[in-house]
Amino acid sequence: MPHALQAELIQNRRLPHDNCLLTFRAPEIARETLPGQFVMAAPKTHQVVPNPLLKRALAVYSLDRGYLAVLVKAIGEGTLRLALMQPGHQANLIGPLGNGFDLTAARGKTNYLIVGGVGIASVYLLAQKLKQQGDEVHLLYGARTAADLVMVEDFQAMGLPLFIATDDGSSGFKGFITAGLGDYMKSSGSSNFNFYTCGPEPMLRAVSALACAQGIPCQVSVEARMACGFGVCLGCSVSTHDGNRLACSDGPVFEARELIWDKP
Amino acid sequence: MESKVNLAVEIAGVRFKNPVLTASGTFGYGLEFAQFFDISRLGGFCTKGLSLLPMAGNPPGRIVETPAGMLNAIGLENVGVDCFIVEKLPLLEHYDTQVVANILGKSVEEFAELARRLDPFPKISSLELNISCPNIKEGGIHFGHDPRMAFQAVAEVKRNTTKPVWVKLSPNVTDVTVIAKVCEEAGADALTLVNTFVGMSIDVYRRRPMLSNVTGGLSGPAIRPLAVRMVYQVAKAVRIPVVGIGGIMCARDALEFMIAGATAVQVGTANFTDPLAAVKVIEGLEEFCEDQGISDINSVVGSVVTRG
Repeated sequence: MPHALQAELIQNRRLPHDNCLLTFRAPEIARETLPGQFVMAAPKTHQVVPNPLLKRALAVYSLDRGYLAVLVKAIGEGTLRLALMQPGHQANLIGPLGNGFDLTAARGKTNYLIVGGVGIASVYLLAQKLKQQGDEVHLLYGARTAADLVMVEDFQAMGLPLFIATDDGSSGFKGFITAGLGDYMKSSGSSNFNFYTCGPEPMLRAVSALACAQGIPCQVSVEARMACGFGVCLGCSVSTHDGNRLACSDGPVFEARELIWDKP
Repeated sequence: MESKVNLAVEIAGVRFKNPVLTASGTFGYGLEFAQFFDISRLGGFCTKGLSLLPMAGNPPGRIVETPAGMLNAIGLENVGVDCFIVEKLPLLEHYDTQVVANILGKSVEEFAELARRLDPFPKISSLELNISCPNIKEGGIHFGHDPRMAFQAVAEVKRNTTKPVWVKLSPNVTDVTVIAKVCEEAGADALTLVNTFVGMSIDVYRRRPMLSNVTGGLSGPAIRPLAVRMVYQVAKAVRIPVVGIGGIMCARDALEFMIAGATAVQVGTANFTDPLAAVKVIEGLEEFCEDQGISDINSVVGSVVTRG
C-alpha cells in the first residue's frame, strides 16, 4: 500500500552527465518496496502551485534499512529540480508504486538484466535479490559513452558478469547492447535464458523481439508519462494484447509478449 | 472534534457535509484514494465518466505537462456503467460521502439509458451529465456546444431519473451563459463548470503533437481565472446552484469560486500532485471561516462585491 509523505534528502551524490543518486529517509516506503517498484517524487515547495506541477516517476534504485535511493538524470524541469536538492531538503514522495519484477521466473535460468542508460536504476534491487536466492545473473549495460555507465561499480562489487556496450566504443563493445547480445548469449554456453530489461524504447523493442522469437521469458519495465502514479489519471496507458493497460498500476513490468510496440 | 463552523451545503435537496468534491476523471471510482485518506471526509466525489459500454480510451501519448497545468486526452476510458454498478458501487457503501455519478452518452438515448440504469441505487446521490469532454469524436462536446442537443439530453435524463441532475459545461464556447440557461430551462438541478479548455502542445524536435489525439483538455491552475470568470457569469444568469471547478489547489482558490457564486467546488488536477489536496482544501476552508468569524460557509456564496 503506497504512502504519501514528506521525506528528508540525506545525500545527493553527483554522477557524470547530469546524473545524481538521491538518498531519502523514508522508512514507511523503504520497508515495503520490492525490486522494480517506483516512487513519485517532487521537492517540497512552499508555493501553492508547484513548478512543475506534477511529480516525477523514479525507480527505487537501492534500499538500506529506512533509506531509499533514486537515480535521477536531469533532462527537464522536474528532474532538474530534484537533481538540485541539497541534504536536509524535504521531498514529497508517494510510494511504493506499481508491481515489481517476478523473481520466481529466474529460478534455474541464466538471467540477463539488459539495460540502457538510466534503465540501470530499475535492476539493482533485482540483481541483489536474484543473487540472494542463488540465481545466475549477468548485467548487460548499454550507454552512449563510458561516462554514462553510472552505478556500474555497484554491480561489479556484487560480482556480476558484465557485458558493456557504448555507442562510441569508449568502453566495452562498440554499438548498441542489442547488437552484441546474440554473441554474448552464444559465448555463455547456456540455452536456458530469462531476461529482465529496462531502458529506451528502441532497446526494449529489440530485446522483446529477440526474446519472443527465441521463446525466452522476458520481463520489460516500461516508462510512460504519468500524472498521478497510482492509477487514476489514466495518462500512462500502454498498448497490450489485452487492451490498454496502465504503466503505473498494471505495470511498470510487463511480459514482453503482452506488449504492442508503436512503429519506430 | 466538532467545529463551530457550518461547512454543509445543499444542492437540489442533497446535503453535502462540506462543499468540497473531487472531480470526475481525477478520482477514479473513489477507492483508489481510500489508501491515502478516509474519503468519508469529502463532501462528495464524482466518478470517472461512465458510458453504457466499457471504453478503451485513446492510444498512448495521453497527457503532457504544461505551465501550471496539464493537457489530457484520455478519451473517457472507463469500465462501463454495468461494471461500475456490480464491482465498484457496493464497495462505496462503506463510505459516508455523496457519490455523484458522471455519465456520458453518445446520443440522447444513451444518456437516458444511463440515467435509468443508475436510478435504483440510493448510494448515488446525483447524476452529472458530461456534455463537455473535448477528447472523443461522438457525443461529449457536441452536446455541450449545441443548445438544442443539450436541451434534449438534459430533458430526457430528467424524465428517466429521480435523482438531481447536474450538467457539466464546456468552456469552449463563445458565451457560456447561453448553454447554461438552456440547461436550466430543460430542468437541470445544478451546473458544474468548467470542464477543460481545448489546447495543444507540440514536440518541436519531432514536429509532432505531444498527444496522440493531437489536442487535449487543459486543466490545472493555468485555467483558474477563466473558470472563475465563467462561474461568476453563470451564477448571475441562472437560479440553480453552480458547482465551480478549474485549477483549485488550496482553500483560497476554492473560496474564489464560492465568492464568485459557486455553492460547492470540485478539486481535480490537484489530486494528482497531492492525493491529500481535497482534504487540505476542506481544512483550509474551515480555518478561513474560523479566522474570519464566518459561522456558515453558505454566507460566502455569491458574496463578491463588484461595485462601490
